[in-house]
Amino acid sequence: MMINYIIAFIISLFSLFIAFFWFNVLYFTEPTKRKQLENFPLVSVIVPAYNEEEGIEKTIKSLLNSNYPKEKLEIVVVDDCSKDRTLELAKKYPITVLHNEVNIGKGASINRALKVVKGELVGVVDADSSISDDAILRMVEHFGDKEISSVVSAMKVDHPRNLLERIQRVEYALGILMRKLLGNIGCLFLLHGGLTMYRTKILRRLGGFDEETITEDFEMGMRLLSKKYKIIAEDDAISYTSVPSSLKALWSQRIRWYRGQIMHNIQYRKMLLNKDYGMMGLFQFPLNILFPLTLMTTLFLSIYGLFRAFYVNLVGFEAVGIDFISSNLDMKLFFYSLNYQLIFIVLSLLLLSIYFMYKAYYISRESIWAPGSLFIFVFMYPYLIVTHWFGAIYKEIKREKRKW
Amino acid sequence: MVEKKYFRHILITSLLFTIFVFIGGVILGWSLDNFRENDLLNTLQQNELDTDSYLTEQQFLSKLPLVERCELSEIRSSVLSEELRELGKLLNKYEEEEILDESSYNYLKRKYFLLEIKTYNILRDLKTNCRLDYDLILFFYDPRDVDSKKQGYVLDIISENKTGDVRIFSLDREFTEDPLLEVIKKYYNITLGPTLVINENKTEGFVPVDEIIGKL
Repeated sequence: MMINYIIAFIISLFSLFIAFFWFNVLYFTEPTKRKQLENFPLVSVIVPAYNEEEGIEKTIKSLLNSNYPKEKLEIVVVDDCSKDRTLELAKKYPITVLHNEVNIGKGASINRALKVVKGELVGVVDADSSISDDAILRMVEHFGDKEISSVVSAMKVDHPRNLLERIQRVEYALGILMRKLLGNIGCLFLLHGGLTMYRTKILRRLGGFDEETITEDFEMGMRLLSKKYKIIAEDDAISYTSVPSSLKALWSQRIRWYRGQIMHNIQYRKMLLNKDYGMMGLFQFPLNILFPLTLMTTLFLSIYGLFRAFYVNLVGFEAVGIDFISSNLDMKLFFYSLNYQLIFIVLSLLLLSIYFMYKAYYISRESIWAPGSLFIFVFMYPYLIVTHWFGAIYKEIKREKRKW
Repeated sequence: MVEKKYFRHILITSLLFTIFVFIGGVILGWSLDNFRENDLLNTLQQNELDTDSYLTEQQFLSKLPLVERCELSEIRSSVLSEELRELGKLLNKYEEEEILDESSYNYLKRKYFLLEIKTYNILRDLKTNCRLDYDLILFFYDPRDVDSKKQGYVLDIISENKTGDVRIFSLDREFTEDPLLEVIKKYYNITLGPTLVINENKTEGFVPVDEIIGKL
């Protein structure tokens, strides 16, 4: 058997095992239940903002419209020395506005607010995001469980307009399901800026957010898990965010994310294959490393397959011209030459993927009928993601300066 | 939140599911490989029977005058090589995709080449003795050679476009499992692939469609 088949076989089997793993997690585990509150704790929501005049008002309004008791909700916007009207717009609302004289970055801005907030719980919302009315209440209901350090909201794409945004809507829907499953097994490290809520004393105890990193939420997730704090996801708490609308913007965002992941995987490598960290150390951390590698190998195999097919066709065309097409339309030859062992495994994988997509749409309550974006997401988008991974690895190897 | 014992349970169940699908895939693959191999073998056996039947028929008819014998022989001659070319394409495809295991593949290939040579001999004799109007092409190829591949495509077009009655027999120049092939290579002095022997005239290197048609 050819080496490419063997590699494809191993990758397919590995992916199938992972898919079955998540399938079982979905059925054998239950998410932490919310408990109705008797006393509403004071919640502070920090909104770090830099040049966000487009979205800051929507963010503030959504927070003000929250059904969480107003007297128990403190909203703090930190303007990180914006060059646009962010500060002016934020000051129009009955909230606390802090202004940085110089640009100090997102992590440092949150930390500045963290020093002054009074809430027992603190939420962080990006200034290009908004939340559903009941999001804060739904998340706070989890903090009755003393073990929980953080709760992550279900982040959806805010009014996707073009194809790329619609594809990301599919990706974010799947992200909601993944966070739920990761939370169920104590491996949720993917925190985000849509709305994540923390126990203030834990954040303070940990010294606040990393001010040097380009992915402070991811770093915080890894740090909390490294200190064995429990993080869960609440899919009834919805946050909406703007997503990149062009390939260039998506490239910048993903390069930042993946460089951040590489950086923090190295930073928290002590967890890797360390049974003290339970499933995170033995399962999820290795998977974090294997996932991009698997994607990259799949890309290589696909390119190899395409080149091989292209080469065969090129030789055929060179020999007999256009007649090559008709002389090769032999269905018996085609079906007889397929590798059915591999096809059977890949088909099982595809079926499981379809099931996960269905569950993701069901949990996120997104419209299921988006065949175009769904098709591109399943069959083409992974290749785009791989190029981002390559870009991120290349930039890390080159030690290019990490930037927002 | 999942407990440690559940984690083990989830891992084992996932592993079992994966093994189950893997075994399912392997069983399905094996069954289909067997089916493919048997199908090839059946076609080969069918061709072998046709060839033997034809040879017996020739023996039986040997007492008849040549004109009558040729008249009767011509009717069945077209059947002999028809399926062989399809079989060859299938075998080549299996070789490219490395579908069959080496021993099965070598056995089938050897059987196929022997049948080809047997059929070629019959048709060559028939053509000479009865002056039948078909062309015979022996095609020696190297499996990994680009020109050989191109020549294969050209011969596909020649046989499919029905440019007259052309019978093509492909032989792997690098196949060393059968001594008969070595003898034939020596007989025609085959030193490179592709080489075509068109009606007993040898041409080395790639020959395009038009040139082959000109030689028929």
